[in-house]
Amino acid sequence: MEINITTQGTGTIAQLIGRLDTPAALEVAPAFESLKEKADSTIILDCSQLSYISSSGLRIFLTLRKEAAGKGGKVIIRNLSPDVRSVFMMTGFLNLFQICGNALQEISPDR
Amino acid sequence: MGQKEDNLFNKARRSLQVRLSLVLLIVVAIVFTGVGLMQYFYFMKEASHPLAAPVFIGLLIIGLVLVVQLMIRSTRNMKQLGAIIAVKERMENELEIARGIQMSMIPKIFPPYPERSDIDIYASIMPAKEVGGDLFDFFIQDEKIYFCIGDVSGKGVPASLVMAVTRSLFRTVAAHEKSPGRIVTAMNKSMSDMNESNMFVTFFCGVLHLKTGHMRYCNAGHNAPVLLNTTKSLLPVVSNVPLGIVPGATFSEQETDLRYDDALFLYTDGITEAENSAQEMFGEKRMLGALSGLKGSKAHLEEMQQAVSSFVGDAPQSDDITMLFIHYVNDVKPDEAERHLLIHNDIQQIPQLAGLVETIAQEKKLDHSLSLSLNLALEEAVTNVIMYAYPEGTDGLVDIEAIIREDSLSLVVSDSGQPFDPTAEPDTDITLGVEERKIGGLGIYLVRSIMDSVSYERTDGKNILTMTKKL
Repeated sequence: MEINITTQGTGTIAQLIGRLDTPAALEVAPAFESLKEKADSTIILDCSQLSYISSSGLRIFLTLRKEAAGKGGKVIIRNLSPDVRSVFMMTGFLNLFQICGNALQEISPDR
Repeated sequence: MGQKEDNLFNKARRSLQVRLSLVLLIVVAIVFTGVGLMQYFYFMKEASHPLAAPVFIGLLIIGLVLVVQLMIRSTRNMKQLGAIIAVKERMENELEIARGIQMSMIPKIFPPYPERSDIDIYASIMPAKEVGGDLFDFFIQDEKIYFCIGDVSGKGVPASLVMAVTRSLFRTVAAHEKSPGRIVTAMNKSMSDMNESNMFVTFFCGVLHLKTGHMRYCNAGHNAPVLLNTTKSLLPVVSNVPLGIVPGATFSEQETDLRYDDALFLYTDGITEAENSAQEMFGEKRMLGALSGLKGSKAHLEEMQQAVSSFVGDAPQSDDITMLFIHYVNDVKPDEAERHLLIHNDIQQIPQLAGLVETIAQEKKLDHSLSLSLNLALEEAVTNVIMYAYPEGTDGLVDIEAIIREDSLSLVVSDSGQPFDPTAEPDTDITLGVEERKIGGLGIYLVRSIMDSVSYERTDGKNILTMTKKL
């Protein structure tokens, strides 16, 4: 699991690469802590290369979302793959986040 | 016991004194009666001396008195001897009962698990006296066999009491400590705390996982067991101190993997130190030599008994002899093993679940999305076990079995942790907004959403969660 955080203007883009399972969620937890400090602005979570997510991953997304709600910031989730999107749908997470990007166009051909 | 022995000794000494004085009395009585009779016959024939009659009557009376006294004494003596014999018989009886109690503390029905095809055990114990200080024990819990062998310093009654304590402690401690290192450390603690007689126990304890063949073991000053696989070798052991000597001692644990058809031979030094009449010892070399290629535990045991007894010959048995053969016959077929996974209660082992799901997906030609969903449900179930069934810091295993049918797939997750029923958790409300939405509770919700049926049961100290998906 990899996370690349870049700053663009007033916003922050975090690109998530790989499988966000329970051990991976522990691994990226410090990065999400640092993202929380920027929760008063716009944070874009780019999920185009996120192939899998479990509840531990959803939990850190939600924690960040709550932080942003408290600080008046925004969390935008971009380019969800259909598999990850279905997990978001199952858990009602599609309603909690601002979702953008057409995931289908972003998927690499071997998917 | 000491006072009784003193009494017995005094009685024996007294009876020896009585016997000596009896012999003396008999001699005197015979002399006096003989002289009396001789004088009687002599004076009857040549009755001339005036003192002849009174002298022979006097001598005759003295002789008779002595004979009567002799009879009284010997009757008394017989009574005393009877009492001594009674005490001896009672002690022998008590020893016989003690022997029965001691033997009932160690497994004696072989084969112990006739219903199991994965383990074959035979053992024997031969105390040099009525009771002894050797012990062995084993039991199966959660698909793991816990076993031990030990040898108390000294022999006879004192050693047998320490043996009984050691065996009870093993059962008590192993009921809640799962690692051999911790079992041995806890046993040592309670044994050194109350060790006023300075006796000690050499001890070996192992825990063999019957599904994987993984064995953890801890040695406390005992002889290294023999590992019988394609070769014969002594299991590498850290010697550690025996139990009961150093109160705060730590005992390092070791591990190895047994493969199909491997066997372990555990023994006490009664084997290696068995002496023949020329006072030569049987020794490790002869012991290893006596272990032939036979793999059945019973055959091994009989072979070893035969080798020792023909070496020892007529020489008396000098020490307790104990042997324990454990033959591991893990009979998991390769195609079943691929659908089976055993992991530790460690979050870092979660990625292994993906491998298992991948195997199933290939076998059943499942599409990628379904395979990811199954992976997700399995991860959530296993994470729950790791987080809630095993309290932090405890070591445990999570067993995952996939049962693949024509039109459905069941994933069975079982563990030996504390009772935890994830299906009893209330469903999380997914319609709530960001503020109200709880952080937790998503795991079991996902499992329920993905799978067609989810059921939980608690059986034999295990949590068993069965999740089924129609295919």
